[in-house]
Amino acid sequence: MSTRLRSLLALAVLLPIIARAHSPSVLSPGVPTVIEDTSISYALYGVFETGDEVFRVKVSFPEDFALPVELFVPHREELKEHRPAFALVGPGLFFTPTAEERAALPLPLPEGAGAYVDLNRVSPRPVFYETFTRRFFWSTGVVALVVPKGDYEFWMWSPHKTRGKFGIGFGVEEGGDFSRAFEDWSVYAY
Amino acid sequence: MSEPSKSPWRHALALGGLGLSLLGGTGCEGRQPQSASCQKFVACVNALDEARGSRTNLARFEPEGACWGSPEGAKLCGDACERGVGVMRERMPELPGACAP
Repeated sequence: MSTRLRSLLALAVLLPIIARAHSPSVLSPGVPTVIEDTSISYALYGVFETGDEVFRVKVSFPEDFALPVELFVPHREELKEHRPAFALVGPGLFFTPTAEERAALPLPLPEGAGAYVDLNRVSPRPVFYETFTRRFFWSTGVVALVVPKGDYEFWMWSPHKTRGKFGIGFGVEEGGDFSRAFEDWSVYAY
Repeated sequence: MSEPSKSPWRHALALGGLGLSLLGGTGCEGRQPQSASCQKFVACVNALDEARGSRTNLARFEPEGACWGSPEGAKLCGDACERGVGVMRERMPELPGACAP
């Protein structure tokens, strides 16, 4: 069997499988990404080109919910000081940011909103090996958050104006269209 | 560098053994038991719900939940629950006893 035929067969078998996996997407600064279905998992990727960008993701939870969340960065020497921060912001959150966290936020906290803020300062930085891309990533450390129903936003920014790639992942359930990963392979696999 | 964990897409646990095998990955290794940290997390949030009169969807963290479909998912959720309970202890006053160490 030729290599080309084997590749086609593998793709034919693989695509239905990967189409069941979570939904990756590329983030753009200034254009909020809207997540319609929070019942599945997501890995959303972006690039700080200047370090001044703020990436926003809008999520809506139809019920009180608990989910794992983390922000990650490719484990590369040139990114060792690249520590983007993230916040989950919205009404009803149990968490009130500290004065330091509030001062670090890239946008004003809406009236009445709470925020879970991770300034990505943990040391040593947690590392995970991602078996699909076969790459190591630095992580903020994954955390399970309890989120009352309502509309929220993830904010991602670079507190020290460092530049480079990052991703934010949340949830664990399958779903979405994983095949999109191949459309932006340079972003996912760096 | 801290000890790395292994995870297929970390937050995407549904590629399945065949897909991973085709790509040279680790493959599916079956369901895992619920971690002690997630038992604690679930008990803590259930107690919070009781105190607040709310009901949080914790399905993914419960024994039959999506967290336990693979070793990678179990690692992800176990770590998440451990830190999640820690964050609640740090930032939320008057937690129920079920959240205590």
